[in-house]
Amino acid sequence: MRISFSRLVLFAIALALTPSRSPAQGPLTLSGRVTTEGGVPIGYAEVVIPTLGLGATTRDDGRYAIVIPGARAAAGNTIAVVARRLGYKPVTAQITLAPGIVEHDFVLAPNPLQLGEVVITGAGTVTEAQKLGSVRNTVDSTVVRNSNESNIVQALAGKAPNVEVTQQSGDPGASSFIRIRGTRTISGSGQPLFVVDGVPLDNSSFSTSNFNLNDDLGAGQTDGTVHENRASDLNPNDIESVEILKGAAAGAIYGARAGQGVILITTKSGRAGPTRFSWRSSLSVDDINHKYPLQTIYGEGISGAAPDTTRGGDCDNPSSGSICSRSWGPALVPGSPVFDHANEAYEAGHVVENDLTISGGNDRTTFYLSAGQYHNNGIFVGDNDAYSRVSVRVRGSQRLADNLKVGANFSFADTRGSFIQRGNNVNGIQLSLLRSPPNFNNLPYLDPTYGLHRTYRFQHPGPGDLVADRGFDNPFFIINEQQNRSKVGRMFGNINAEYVASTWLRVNYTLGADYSNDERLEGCPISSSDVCFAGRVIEGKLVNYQVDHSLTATVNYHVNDNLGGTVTLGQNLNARNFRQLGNVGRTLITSQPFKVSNTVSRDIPSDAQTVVHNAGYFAQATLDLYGQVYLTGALRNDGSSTFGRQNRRSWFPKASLAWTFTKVTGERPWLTFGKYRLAYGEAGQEPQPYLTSTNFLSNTIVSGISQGTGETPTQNGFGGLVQGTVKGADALRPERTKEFETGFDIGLFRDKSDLSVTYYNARTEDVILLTPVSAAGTGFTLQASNSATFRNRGLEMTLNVRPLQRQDYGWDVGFQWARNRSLVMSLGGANYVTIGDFQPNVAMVGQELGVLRSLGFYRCGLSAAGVVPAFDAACAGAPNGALFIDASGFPVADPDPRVIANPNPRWTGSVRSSFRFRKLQFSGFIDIRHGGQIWNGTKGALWSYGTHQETASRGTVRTFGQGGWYDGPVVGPGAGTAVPIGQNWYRDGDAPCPFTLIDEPCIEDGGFVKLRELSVTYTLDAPWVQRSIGVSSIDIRVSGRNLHTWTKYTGYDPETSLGGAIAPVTGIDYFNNPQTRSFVFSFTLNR
Amino acid sequence: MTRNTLVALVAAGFALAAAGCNPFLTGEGLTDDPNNPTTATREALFMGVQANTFGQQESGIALTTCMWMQQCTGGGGRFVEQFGKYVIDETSHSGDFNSVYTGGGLIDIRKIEASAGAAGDAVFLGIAQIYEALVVGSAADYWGDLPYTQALTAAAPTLDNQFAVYDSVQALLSRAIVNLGGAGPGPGARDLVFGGAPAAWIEVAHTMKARYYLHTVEAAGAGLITGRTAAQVYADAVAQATLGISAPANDFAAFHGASTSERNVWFQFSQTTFGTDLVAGKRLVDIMNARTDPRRPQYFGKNALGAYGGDDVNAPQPANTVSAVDGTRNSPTFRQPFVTYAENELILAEAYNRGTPAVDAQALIHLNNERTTVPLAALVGVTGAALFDSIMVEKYVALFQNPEVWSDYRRTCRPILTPFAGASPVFGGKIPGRLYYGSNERNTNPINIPAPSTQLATNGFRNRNDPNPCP
Repeated sequence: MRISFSRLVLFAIALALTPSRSPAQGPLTLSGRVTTEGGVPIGYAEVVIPTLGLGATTRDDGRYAIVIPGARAAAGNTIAVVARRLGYKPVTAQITLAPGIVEHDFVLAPNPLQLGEVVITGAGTVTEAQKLGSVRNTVDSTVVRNSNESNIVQALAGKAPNVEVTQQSGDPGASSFIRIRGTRTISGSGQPLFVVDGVPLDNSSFSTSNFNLNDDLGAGQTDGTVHENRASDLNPNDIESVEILKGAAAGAIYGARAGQGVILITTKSGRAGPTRFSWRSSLSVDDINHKYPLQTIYGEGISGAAPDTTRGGDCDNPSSGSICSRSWGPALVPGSPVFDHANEAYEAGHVVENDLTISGGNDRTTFYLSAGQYHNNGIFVGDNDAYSRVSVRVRGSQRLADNLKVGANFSFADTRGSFIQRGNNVNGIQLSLLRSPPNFNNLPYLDPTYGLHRTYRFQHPGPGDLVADRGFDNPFFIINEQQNRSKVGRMFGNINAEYVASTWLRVNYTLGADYSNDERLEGCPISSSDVCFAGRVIEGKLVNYQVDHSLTATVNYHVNDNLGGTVTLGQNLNARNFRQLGNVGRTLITSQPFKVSNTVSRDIPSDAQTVVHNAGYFAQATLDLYGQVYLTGALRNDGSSTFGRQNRRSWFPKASLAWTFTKVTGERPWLTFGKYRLAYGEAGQEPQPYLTSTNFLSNTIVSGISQGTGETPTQNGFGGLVQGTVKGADALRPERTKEFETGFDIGLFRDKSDLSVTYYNARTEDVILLTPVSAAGTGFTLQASNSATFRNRGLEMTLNVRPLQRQDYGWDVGFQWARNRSLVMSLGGANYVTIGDFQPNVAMVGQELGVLRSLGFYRCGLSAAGVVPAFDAACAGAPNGALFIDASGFPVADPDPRVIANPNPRWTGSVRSSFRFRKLQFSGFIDIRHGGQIWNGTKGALWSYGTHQETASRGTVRTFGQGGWYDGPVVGPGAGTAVPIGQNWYRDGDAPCPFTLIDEPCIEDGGFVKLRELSVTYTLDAPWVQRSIGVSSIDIRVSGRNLHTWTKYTGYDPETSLGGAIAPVTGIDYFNNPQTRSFVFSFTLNR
Repeated sequence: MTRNTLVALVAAGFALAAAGCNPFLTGEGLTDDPNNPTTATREALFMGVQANTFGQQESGIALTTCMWMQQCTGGGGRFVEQFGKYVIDETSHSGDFNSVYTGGGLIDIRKIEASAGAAGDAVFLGIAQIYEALVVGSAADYWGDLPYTQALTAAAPTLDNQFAVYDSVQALLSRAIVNLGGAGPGPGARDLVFGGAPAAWIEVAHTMKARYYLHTVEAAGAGLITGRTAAQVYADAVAQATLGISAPANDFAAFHGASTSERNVWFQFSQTTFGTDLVAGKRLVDIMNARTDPRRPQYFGKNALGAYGGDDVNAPQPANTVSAVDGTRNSPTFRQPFVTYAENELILAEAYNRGTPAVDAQALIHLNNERTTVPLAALVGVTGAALFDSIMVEKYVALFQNPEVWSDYRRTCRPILTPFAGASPVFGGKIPGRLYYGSNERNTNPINIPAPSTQLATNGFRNRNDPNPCP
């Protein structure tokens, strides 16, 4: 046995940190190394002595040391020692203690199916992986950390089949939308329930613009800035593992809150053993991942004519209309200056991240301390797009008595964001940047003569033009002069107790709280455009407070070796209180500060409170038969203040079966393990609060023409009210998903491969819709009711292959594939229900959820006869869907809306591979979305503005149906006629969908193949590292994030979501901010 | 001790739940919305009804018809210009359709009527009935057949024939006139138009009756209304208008304050990004320029050349010749006129000119009454068709921004307008004669509301009262 220097140091640390409980007898030490079969050290493995309640965790070099106080065991005792690590089969060794140091090394075999590992199944219940009757999807800390995402939700992108994650945009702090096995609700945001260490975590999103009812007409999330989803306050570095409960069968234990799935997050905790220190620093350089295609050939103007852009000319009169707003002017003279609007607003962004973790403990006490600091300065020039998070977590436990352990787990996060407005918004950057004519220099953004804000539509503001409308803001004015802030203080934590009353009874109690205070500011300065013209300030405050109490008692029973199991009884009380207060002030008194008190007038304040209480009881029983058949049954009863009076409580059952059939068939070389799974469960989604009330409103804006116009009922100092447009529902029940799931997990070829296949069929009934009602018949437009039925069916597969595993090198590949098909089976009356808030995405009977129902062109078989001359005759015998071309050579817009796009992907998948050579590891991760259409409204608008690259070919003669131009069958008197395509089509014709509402020309395939991660890691753990630096190992990692996207989509990125984590639909792009790619350098010091 | 702790823990937990069970789920702020009231007085609702009505009359439909009537022209390539080029669909005016019935519309008007009736406040009741008549009468102008008899009482209300709606409106106005002659304190200062004065409202009711009679006159002339001739309708219109608005001071015009959402909606629109997309229409400006009309600075701003000019949807004009919709009317507090002395006088003029027998002398007097208020010089010696033309052209100018111009055009084809040549062929080369029913209504009431293509194919997308083949 070789005793190295490092081992001595370790020993010394262990001695120093372990309280000596019995100085009379000298301590014994157990030490050694945990490695894979290939000899690769396994860090973070647990080595425990169950009978003594002692243990330690291995360092990155696989070393562990356990100091056994003399009072607990003596030399000569033989004790069982277990080594385990997620992903490896645990090994138990019988070790005879001897004075001094006993060395024992463990070699762990991979455990691809996590057999024997304890799985958290929610609400205080646990089981072993092989007993689970539903599919398991776990994401561990390494995967979370290697994603280099600051938002835990985004870190889950592509990590489990049918877990779709879409980031709103590449802005620092932008929210991510997560959808598990398709959308099952359309009330609320449709996000899964997040539970951290047994306590629900608020993951809400709120757009600051929603405080501004006046200018936004309720469409706040499609303009203003991106918003955060509150789960992003979690420091991903604190996360030990994430379990994704995908279906109702897995989530039923959470009853009325599990309809969209449950994300169970476990944070890291300290373990007995020497104190570990870990310092991780990373630096990331980000840039825009795709440049917008803009033309640089034609200048400002209309119909080939240029405006007079001298002082006092056409472009100094904001009402001059199109000639200054468009780029349909003459071809630019070769050599004349052209400005790169696609690139000019961007610079390299960067992320600096530092995390310090200290953890350890002894047999009675454990602790975990972490501090994290994250700062992201985004890719827009300047420092006004930034996001930072400082977080601290303290977690500890103390064994008060041999059978009573108490613990506490608290974290604090200070999150600050600074954003750039975007979206459907003249004060947003993309709209003005991408519409800028190529021959207009956006710099300087202040006119040098009078120092006022200049824009391409108002080029020379004079001394009296401080508050005149600019048309669109100058993009650099937006970047530099606006202030859009969010400042969040978040406290989240719990206290818990575990009481082992007897060998067969365990009682757990958790009391958790989640508090956040979010202060928002949106300030646009004087001389902004449109409704912001004299300056506008939005100040708002969101307070979210949640208290959760849960008590569970678990009984273990063991009749004989062939019959045993558990019974768990539990109770959960939950109270959520959400408060919002917002004020909009208009017309700044002086230019600074952006405070409502510094404004001349104020809108009606936005002031609302929601309180929701839940009380649930549950019971779960498991039955293990013959060590191969595992049955689980559970029942939850939930009451909620949101349910109607007649339906105050609801039942949610589940049952599952897992059968290890290889116990019967026997293991074969090619089939080492096989398990069949079958599960059924019901889970719900509670109604939004207060849908049962019919109210009168004082702040509804009635009868405006466009954004920024409308009247309140209060006029001339007399208070007014109007009937709200939503009729109160008499009785609401929770939505209920009944899901059947079956599949198998098999280990193949001596664990060189494993395969998991799952089929599910989920029927969601009683879906609550704000169902349209006849305004003429009722005086209301909407009423909530449990009216719809949706179905989601799908297939999920995971295949992992480990073809090479040797001491010096290894290679593994993982594949995931999933498809989900949704179907709207009934809507309880209405033909369709609009679920988008910007575009007419609908739920429509017989269609997939979220399809776009809008206007297209006259097509044979799809459009009504008898309206357009020649259409009926032309379609006789023509193929279905043939495009009708009228005598002018152009198609004709169909006045009847129809389904024209489906934003849901056909399938999603991913490929992950890593290759290890000695201490060097290469890994890569590809994320695939096949199909799923996007409404590219940005393109439609830029066609109209003449800045889109495709408008550079203006005047080209094309024939509909030929040569890549609306290919497909065409009919009609103009079929085959070549027509010029230029301003007549892109601006004045049917092409510019955001303005014509004819959306067919803007539909694009949003499928992609994305290189999400590519990394090289090198571990330095040679003895000199410790000698010279004093740490046990250093990991150096160079990686790339979102390095490349292969897609047909022509916008910034097919991963885009204008509404972010608020809207239950995706596939809408309208001047959303771009995505980023990153190059990340990180190093981790471990001791 | 162990057992005691266990019992205490478990008991504490379940006691907490049991003690709190029902109040925990149904306490204050849990089941009833703590944010909004569930009752409203008629005074509060009346404020909402006025705001809603002012909004409706000044909003999207007025903007659309201003362009269709070529008093305005759309530019900018966005929704305004598209609307101006008849690119509309069933969602375009769906909100306007809903607001006839929803909060601030019929549902609240009926509550006010019920409350005022129960309280015996006949004046309040009469004023509410006039609002109902304006809201429903305007809707019949835009959409033709309309849910009215079954409004607010049926899940899928049937449509009343447009003439039946007009008849109902006439009856309602008659009752309003009676009620306004009755007793009651009325809304007082909460009446933003006349401060609760019944006499002025009675005049408005008579002018409205005359307006809606005229809306049926062509149909009566074409024999489409059983037992009614055009001559009778003109006589009814004269009878009512004679009792109508007696002076410009008694105009039924909106009231607007300077606060953000109390401002004139046209003004609000002019402040938005889309505001500059709406400019003066060449057809109207040319008429006004030809007579050096003193209303030009009320309606429009001067173009870059210091003069007044408009744009033409069929022949785009140089930017420097086009005026903005930016006259003295473009003010936050401008009281947008809805039913006016000018309209009343011109109704009289038209009815005398077109009635049987025609009394052109009377027609000319009333036309000149209106011209005097502008002021424009009195016309002399004009008769017959020329006089009719003068009346209708004057009405076209006087009722700028009022959708009533569109009704007049559909009836009389005056002034002569050339439809947008590049319009979708679905409109058959004509200016659209009505609006699509709202998408919300068709979605929830598909039995009674036909698809847009069917609406287009029915009567050439024109309402029942519109037999004239105006382009």
